[in-house]
Amino acid sequence: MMRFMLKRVLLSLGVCFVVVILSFILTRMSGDLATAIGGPNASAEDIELIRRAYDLDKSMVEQFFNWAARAIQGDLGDSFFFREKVSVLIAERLPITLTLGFFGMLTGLVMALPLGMLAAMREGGPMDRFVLFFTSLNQAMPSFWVALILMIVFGLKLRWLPISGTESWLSFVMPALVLGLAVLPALARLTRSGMIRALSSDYIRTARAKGLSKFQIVAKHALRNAAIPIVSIAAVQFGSLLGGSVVVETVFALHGVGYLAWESIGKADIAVIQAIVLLLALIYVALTLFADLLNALLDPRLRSK
Amino acid sequence: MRRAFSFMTARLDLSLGLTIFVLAILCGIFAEQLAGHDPFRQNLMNRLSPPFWMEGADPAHPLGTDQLGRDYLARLLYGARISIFIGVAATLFSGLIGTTLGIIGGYFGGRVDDVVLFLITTRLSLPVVLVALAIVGLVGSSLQVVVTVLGLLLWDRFAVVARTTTMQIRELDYIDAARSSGCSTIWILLREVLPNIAEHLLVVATLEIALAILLEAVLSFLGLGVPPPLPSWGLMISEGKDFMFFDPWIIAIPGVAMMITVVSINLLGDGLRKLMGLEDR
Repeated sequence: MMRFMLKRVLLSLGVCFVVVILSFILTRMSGDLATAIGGPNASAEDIELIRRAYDLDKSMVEQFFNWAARAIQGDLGDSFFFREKVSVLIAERLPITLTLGFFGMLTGLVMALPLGMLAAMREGGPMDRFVLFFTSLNQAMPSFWVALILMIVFGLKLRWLPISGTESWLSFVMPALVLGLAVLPALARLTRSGMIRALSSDYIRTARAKGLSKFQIVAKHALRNAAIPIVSIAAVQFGSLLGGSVVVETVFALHGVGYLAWESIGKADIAVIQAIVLLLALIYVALTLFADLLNALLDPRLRSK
Repeated sequence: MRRAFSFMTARLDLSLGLTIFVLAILCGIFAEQLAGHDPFRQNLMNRLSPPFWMEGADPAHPLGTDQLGRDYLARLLYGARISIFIGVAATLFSGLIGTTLGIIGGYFGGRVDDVVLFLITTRLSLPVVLVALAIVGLVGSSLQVVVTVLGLLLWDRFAVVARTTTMQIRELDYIDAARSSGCSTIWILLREVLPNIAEHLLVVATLEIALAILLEAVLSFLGLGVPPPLPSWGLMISEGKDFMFFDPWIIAIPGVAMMITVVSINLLGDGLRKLMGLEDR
């Protein structure tokens, strides 16, 4: 058990290290960065200045170690476009992305759990087939398109919700719904298969023999056993949901980290781009580590290994 | 009885999915001939002409015209060519990377496998949409760049499946027999292992084609995918969104086309998986 955990933590640390390198390389892939940053109207002197200011005149290895050494101390460099420290920029906008991610996940779970459970009650029944059909349809719709359709229906036709901005909590309803729908298929299918497996197992048969009601069986016994994989997939999905929020934030003009990333990509603002890629990757690594350790702690079969 | 029933639905899934997907491919190949219009030809005198089910539709343009007066049906069909080409090409590329890594890890095990697992874990930790956007944004957008980026980012599922299935068969008799009869390792991997895990990889491929099509749409929608004036479904939605409050059909049409295509590919994959008796993952 301890060995498994230790190995898992070491793996995560290794991944973190490689991700640091990758997020650096990623932003050096375009030919001449200084020209890209300077834009079409920059003079030769401007470009030379930029090159010196961003260490671009040094060798790649030197650039990397300078950046990494500062990044470890929490200094992610300066954004040349916003003229601000990258860490400050991100800290300002992270709350919006995390709020959005939290409510998106909540919306997804609130929809997915009942759907998955209802589907599992009678495998192959009409409800089961409806849920499978709904999730596969849902999976085939890109989230930006769902967002636009919701905007037309709820923003324009019904005028229930604002289509952009962050003035009131109402502005978060549609974005959270879009993100919730994005994670719904995976969560609902996992709930369904977990419940089907749980419902066909011995302890459920015992519970049935004891004369417990169907609701008690599902809610108390089956759900508890299906919960471990659901929690761990939810943690993993939360990570990819934060990564996917770049789309939703752009469509709804919510000024979170995703929107910042999109803006920075358009301006070739490399310091910001590499910081956000790094941040999201590290969050993902932490979440999967959490999910795996939780699994190991809760699952007796893994515990004994 | 139940088995026979699920066998039947699997056949139904497979044939329905295959039919629609093949139709979509044919639409893409014969886009110009089917629409009877050039998808790039602008006509500013005839902008945003409505599709056939609305009043004032022009019979020459059954799905109307876009904001530059280009025939929408022609662009939609040409968009099928772009979307499916990117989906298939990116999947072939990612399949090559993922399968190679997965087979090597699964067959050799030990340290080699640790490295492969490490690569898979690292790849999974990278946010796909963001990294794809950043690379295309910094390198510049073109069809080749989009295919390469998606190929480099979507190999994880191939690697996972190839690795686990190779592990399951590597100790089987026929592999042992090949080994003891002196076949080279490369021969064993290519002629014994690969054909025996191919059906699993085929199922993964269908999932990945669908995923790549959706991701291409995201990239194009955010302006960092296929460069205009090429019609990609994501780009059509992006260009149409300025007009969507007056003419919702302009984003509805490409979205529905994409949905039908992706559902058909997923049906195809589901049907294949059930028919081959592969377990639900």
